[in-house]
Amino acid sequence: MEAKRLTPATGPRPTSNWIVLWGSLTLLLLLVGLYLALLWAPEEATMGIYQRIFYYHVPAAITAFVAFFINLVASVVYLLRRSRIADAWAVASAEVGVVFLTINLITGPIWAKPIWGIWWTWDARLTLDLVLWVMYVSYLLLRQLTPRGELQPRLAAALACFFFVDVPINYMAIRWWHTQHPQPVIFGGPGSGLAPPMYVALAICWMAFMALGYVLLRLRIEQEMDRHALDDAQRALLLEDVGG
Amino acid sequence: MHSVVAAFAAAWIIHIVYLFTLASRQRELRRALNAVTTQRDVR
Amino acid sequence: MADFRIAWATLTRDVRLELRTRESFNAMLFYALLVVVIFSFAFESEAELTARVGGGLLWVAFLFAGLVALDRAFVREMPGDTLTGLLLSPAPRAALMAGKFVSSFVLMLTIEAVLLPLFAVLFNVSSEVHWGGIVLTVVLGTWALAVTGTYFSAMSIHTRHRALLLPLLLLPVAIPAIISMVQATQVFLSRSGVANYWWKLLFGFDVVFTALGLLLADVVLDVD
Repeated sequence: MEAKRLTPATGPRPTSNWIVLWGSLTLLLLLVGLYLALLWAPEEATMGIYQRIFYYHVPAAITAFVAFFINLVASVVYLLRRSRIADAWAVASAEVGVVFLTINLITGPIWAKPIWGIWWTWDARLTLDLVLWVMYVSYLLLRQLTPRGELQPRLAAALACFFFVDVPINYMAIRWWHTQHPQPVIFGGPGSGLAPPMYVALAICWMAFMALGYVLLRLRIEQEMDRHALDDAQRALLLEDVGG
Repeated sequence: MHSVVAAFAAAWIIHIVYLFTLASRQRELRRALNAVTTQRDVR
Repeated sequence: MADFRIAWATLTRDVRLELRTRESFNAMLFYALLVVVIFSFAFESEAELTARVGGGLLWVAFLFAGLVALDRAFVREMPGDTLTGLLLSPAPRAALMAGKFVSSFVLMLTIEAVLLPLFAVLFNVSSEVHWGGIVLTVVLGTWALAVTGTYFSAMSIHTRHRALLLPLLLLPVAIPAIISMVQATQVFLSRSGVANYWWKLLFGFDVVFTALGLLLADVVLDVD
C-alpha cells in the first residue's frame, strides 16, 4: 500500500519564512506597545499609574473574543463540511482565546485591587468573562478526554454551538441578576473619555496582541495538521502490518 | 507601581508559557513523525 | 407521527428499565436524601436562612442528584451495548434524543418530588410560601437541566472519565439556567417580588436548547 506523503520531518520547514517575518513584526509591535503603554502615554488623572494596566487588559479581552468567534465559525464549518482544517482552526482558536482571556482575567483583579479596593466583584462584565473562560476550558477538556479520530472534532463542534446559543442567555441572566445586587463599587474606568495619546497606545497594544494571536493561531493550526499527518502515517503502517 | 509591573509581567509570562508548551508539543510530534518515517523507510 | 411513536417507545423503554432495576433508582434517591441531610448539618437550618439562601441550597441538592440521573441516561445502554442497536435502527436520531430527554426529565422529577417536601421540613420553609410558583420553577428548571444534561451525557459516553466529564460540560452551559432557577425559587422562599422575568428566561433556555439538542442529535448519536 502506498503510504501517504509525509511532511519532511527534518530539514527546513515551509513554515520558517512566515514565522520569522510575523514573529519579528509581532515582537516589534509588542515592544513598541510596551513603551507606549508604560512610558509614553500620559498619566491618567484619577487612577494614576494603575490605569496603564488597561493597555493590556482591554486588548487581551478583544483578542480573546475574536478568537472565540473564529472558533464558532470553524465549528459550524466543520459540522457542515467535516474538514480537518476547519477543526484545526477550531481547536487553535479555542486555545489561543483561553490564553488571552486568562491574561484579561488576571490583569483585571490586579487593577481592581488598588482602584476599587477589592479583587473581584460579580459585575456583569467580569462575570460574563469568567463564564466564557469556564466554557472554553471545558471545551478544551472535552477535546483532551475524547480519543483522537473522527469523533473528537464532531463532539467539540457540537459543544461550540451550545456555547454560541448560551452566551446571549448568559448575558441576559447575568445582567438581570447583577442589577438585583448592590453594586459594591463606583465604576470610573475608561470610556468616560480617553485622551488621544491613550487611544494610540491602546490601538498599538491591540494590534500587537492581534498579531501575536495570529502567530499563535497559525502555529497551533500547523501543529494540528502535523498531528493528523502523524495519525495517518501510523495508521498506514498498521494497515501494512495487517495486510502482511 | 508593583501591581502595574505584576500585570504586565503576568501577560508576558502567560504568552511565553504557551509558546513553550507549543514548542515542546511540536518537538514531541516531530520525534514521533521521524520515528514513523524511518520505520517506513526501513521496509 | 412515527417520530412521536419512536420517542414514546424510547421513553417507555427507559422508564420500564428503571422500574425493573429499581436498586439504582433507590440508590440515587438515597444519595439525594443524603445531600439534603448533609446540607442541614453544614448550614444552620433556620427559617431565616432558608429565606435568604434556600433557593441555592435546594438547587445544589437537585443538581447533585440530577447529575447521577443524567449520567444513567446513556450508561443504561452500556451493559448489552444496546446503544449500537438503537443507532443501527433507522429511527431518526432526533426522536431517540427526544425520548431520552423526557425519560431523564421524568427520572429527575421523581427524585425531586421526594426531595422537595423533605427540604421544606428540614429547612423549616414557611408554610405560606407560594408552592405553585416553586413547583413551576422546579419543572422549568429540571427540563433545562434534563435537556442539556442528556445531550452531554450522550457526548460523555464516548470519552475517558465519563462521570467526571458530564458535570464539566453541563455546569458551564447551564449557568444562566442555574442563575434563573435559583433566583426564581429564592423569590418565592423569601416571599418577595415576582419571578416572571426568571420564568421567561428559563422558558427561553428550555425552548432554545431543546431545539438545538434535537437539531444536533445526529452529531452525538452516530455509529463510529
